[in-house]
Amino acid sequence: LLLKRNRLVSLLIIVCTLLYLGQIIFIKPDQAILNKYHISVTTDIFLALAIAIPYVVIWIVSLIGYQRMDSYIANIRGSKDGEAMNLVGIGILLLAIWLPVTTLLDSLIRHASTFHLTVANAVRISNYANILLLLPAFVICYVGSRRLLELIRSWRMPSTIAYVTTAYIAFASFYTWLVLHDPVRKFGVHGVNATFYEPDWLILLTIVIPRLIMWYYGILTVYNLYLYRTRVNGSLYREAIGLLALGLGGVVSIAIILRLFQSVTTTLNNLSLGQLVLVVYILLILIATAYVFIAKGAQKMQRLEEL
Amino acid sequence: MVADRTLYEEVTRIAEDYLGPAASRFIDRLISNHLHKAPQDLKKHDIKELTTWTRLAVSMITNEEETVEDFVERLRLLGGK
Repeated sequence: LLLKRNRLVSLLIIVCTLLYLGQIIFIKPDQAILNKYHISVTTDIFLALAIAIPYVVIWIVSLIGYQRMDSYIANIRGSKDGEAMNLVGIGILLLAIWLPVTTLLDSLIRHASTFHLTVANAVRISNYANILLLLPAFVICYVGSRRLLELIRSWRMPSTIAYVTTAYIAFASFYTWLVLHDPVRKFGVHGVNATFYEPDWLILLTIVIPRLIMWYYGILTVYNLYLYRTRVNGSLYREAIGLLALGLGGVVSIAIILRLFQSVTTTLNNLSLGQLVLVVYILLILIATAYVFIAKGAQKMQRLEEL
Repeated sequence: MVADRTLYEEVTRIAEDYLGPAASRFIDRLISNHLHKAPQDLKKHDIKELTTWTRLAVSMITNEEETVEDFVERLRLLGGK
């Protein structure tokens, strides 16, 4: 059924899954990593699969979420909220694609030499692909959420937006400081890859600023959906919007947390294998919860239109 | 003002309190698929059947018995005795 409805997206996720699992099983792992954690090739493969399999399940959940949203949008096409929801749906589609594509590109860094790439170029591809997918996803979701708000009569942006923006400016300053104090931002050291392989001005201009903009749009989307939820009529409809807002809030948080982790690579590199696996599993649980909320919200809205 | 509203509009207004923007589409579907008439042709004597279908449909999307009963009761009042 998944394959039938959105062939292109489903095929993309199937291809990503095969490539992701294939590179774990068939490409020889980095000997330096095996030595560092004192593990054999087989243990490395099993560990990678123990993370990859739940990850693939999350991709499928995100695809289901998008497809439910798509069915819902198909039912309300032509209505006032249909156009706004369509934009939110496009954003959710990009968020569903973002996970597998960036995971694959991250694993490309690990096997850069196999693909005749320098590690620096693989890191650059991964960093910019992330922005190229997330920036439009959050901007489109924001435009959709804004249009939803505009459907409410006598709607006015509340003054609390100033507090949200102030808190975000403080966070943005902290993130910029964190990036510029990352000792491996330009060059890798002691087996740790650099975070960006770019000079500071290019990091700020092409990575930090776009990331801060896209996160801001992501946060505003969640805020708009929250406002819409509090003002729109319909107790059952509000539940669905609330789940969608929670899910999108989770995805925005994960997108931010992942990039914060990227800037503390050296600290993470000192963690033991057990601690690293624990961190990864906590992240996987967070990602799964966020996409499950999106899928649940979309399902609830879809059912409202199919009764 | 209230007196000027048609029965269909009254029903939709009540439904909006539970289903938001999905309300008019929901009511339209119930009337055309189960009562087999145009939504604007809704009459007081149709309300009983409409509440039956509403209870059935809304129970499928929520476990909150109270919400379902409240919704159905408000619709039932539109049909008179």
